[in-house]
Amino acid sequence: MKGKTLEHRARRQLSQSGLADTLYRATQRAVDKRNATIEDHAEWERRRDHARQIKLHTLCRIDELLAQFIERAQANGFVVHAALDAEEARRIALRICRDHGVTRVIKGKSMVSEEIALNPALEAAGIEVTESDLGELIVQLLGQAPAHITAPAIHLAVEEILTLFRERLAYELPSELRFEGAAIPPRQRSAIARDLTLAARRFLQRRFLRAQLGFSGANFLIADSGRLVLLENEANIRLSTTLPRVHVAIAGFDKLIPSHDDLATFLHLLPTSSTGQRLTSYVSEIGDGDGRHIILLDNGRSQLLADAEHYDLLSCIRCGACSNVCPIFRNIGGHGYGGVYSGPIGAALLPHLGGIDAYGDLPFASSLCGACSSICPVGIPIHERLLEWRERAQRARGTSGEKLIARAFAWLIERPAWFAAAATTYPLAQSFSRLLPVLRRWSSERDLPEMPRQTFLEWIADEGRETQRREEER
Amino acid sequence: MRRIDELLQRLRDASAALPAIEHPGPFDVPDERDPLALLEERVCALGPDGESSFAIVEDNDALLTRLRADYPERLRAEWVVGDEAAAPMFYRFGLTEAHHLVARSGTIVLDVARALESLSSLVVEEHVVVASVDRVVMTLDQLPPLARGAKTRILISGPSRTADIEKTLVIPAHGPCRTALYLVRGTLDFGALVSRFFSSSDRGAG
Ligand code: SF4
Repeated sequence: MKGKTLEHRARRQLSQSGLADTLYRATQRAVDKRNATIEDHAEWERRRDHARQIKLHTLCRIDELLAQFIERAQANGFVVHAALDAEEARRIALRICRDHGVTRVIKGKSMVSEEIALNPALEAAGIEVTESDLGELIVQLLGQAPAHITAPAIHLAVEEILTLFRERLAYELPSELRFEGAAIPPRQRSAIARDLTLAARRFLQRRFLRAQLGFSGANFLIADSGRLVLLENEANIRLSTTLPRVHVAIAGFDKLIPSHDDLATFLHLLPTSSTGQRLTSYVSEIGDGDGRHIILLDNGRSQLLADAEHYDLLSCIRCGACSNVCPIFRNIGGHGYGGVYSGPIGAALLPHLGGIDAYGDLPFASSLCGACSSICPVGIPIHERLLEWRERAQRARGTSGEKLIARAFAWLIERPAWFAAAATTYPLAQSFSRLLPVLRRWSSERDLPEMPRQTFLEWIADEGRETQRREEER
Repeated sequence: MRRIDELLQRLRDASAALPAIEHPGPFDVPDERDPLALLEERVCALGPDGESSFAIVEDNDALLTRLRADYPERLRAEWVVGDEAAAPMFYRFGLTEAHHLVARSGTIVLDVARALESLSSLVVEEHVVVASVDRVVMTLDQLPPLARGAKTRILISGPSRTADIEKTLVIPAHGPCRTALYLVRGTLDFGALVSRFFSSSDRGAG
């Protein structure tokens, strides 16, 4: 789902009929549920501050804390690896597969494995890879990338999934659920969605039993206990990390938290922000390390850590709440961002992790409304980071068109006679704007504001005369 | 090992210039309600999503009587009990001892030596959980460290669920269809409970 530029991708996404509606419904529902849940979580705001402080504390002491994590995890029996970039992480993963003679892999949902493009590497080595999270399985079967950090299939309608399962899983709709025409009647939608889910479950159960190795990410790494923590609702991660002989977890070092005692706060913040659930159905805090590997990933993160203005982006816990409230995300969806991470945090993070050349336009995909920052459970001022990116881009670019316009306006407003003349010719400019090629694109989706009949000064003068008249009448 | 040192060195360099920020210390939550009442409310609130039941009994004998009454098919059905590493899948019943329960979130806490030993809560149609009321805490923040000998902790706060297709909630995605929680006043003797529960004598408690 790559497109050359943000604009290119956004246009393509916007032209998909129904996408914005689907996205709006799904994201608004998550936000509503989140708001309802925090209403009976009296200490919510205090928890956010608490979490931000823990995360920033962790980042400023990251070298010591990570060293502690590694030592304790090794004592627990984990084999710990470090990968400086994506290529190295893939190599380590492949080596582990080879060492254990693995041909079938089952995966729990992991953004980092997307980041390092793990699946294609495994498949190229002849390994069968199955995503075990239902949403991830669907996008895997479609050959797409996930469209949302926590809801990968958020952009798909039941009809599309039905067609997909018919083709790929030899799925047949039970006779009582058959319907006429192309669109599923509203009454039947949820019954069909349920039956599709059950079909996926039957398919996955066979895959769980066949797999020799389970891959997962990690939501948190705990320094003082050397354990890794995974959150989920389906239980697919519990199965993926328990049934196969070998388990490999891949995580950025930014997943670290100092202590077991810090965990509760994050166990609350993450799911409530994400879907409005009080807690996820399951949390696994895994400390039995025998047969398990942990790959710690840098891949651009240490460079971001050194950026004293932006390093707090590394405190993100990937809840997806900022996407759910973002007016841009709600229109263009995750694929509009063209990278692994999407939404406001993706727009701020990707230029760091993937380079300005590839992702420098993303910080412009924001209305700077600040909705992301006010919902973020770890208090990252995301929109300020986006604004700073724009300033950085502007500084690098020198004088821009907008700057020239602003300068011309400043000149004009200091010269009353010129300004008056400009005001009279404005309606003319308005008609011309449709003809000028530079402005045509701008004005194709926007209107220049209508010119009021009076200038502000004329209006004030009129008002003054009117008030005077009324007072004389009294 | 060399790579790990290299990563740590990178982090040392990168974080050198960052502002020093203190750890905020523990997070305090006031205990405003009776944890047992809240636990019951939370566990039962799972109802519309996944079936669940909640009972408090006086002692180990009463628990045995109650379980025998609730599971008349106990000797015929397939059970996986406690930390037996189950061969997957699927069993009719799983019977486990919860090491702690969290009232606010209705959470069942299992501490096990290996994750594999928690399968009795997962690859079963119905999960039967027993625990002592003394093990109920109010919030997750108050959970004690892992039980001695345990290396892995599993928290269960709801049914296995998914809503990935057009947000339609489906339960269970993989785990049990039903959870039953029995609390005993006083100390629970899980080992004795299990052997008496599965003894073929039908004399019941006593
Ligand atoms: S930036 Fe904040 S709101 Fe966005 S995904 Fe990360 S933690 Fe969630």
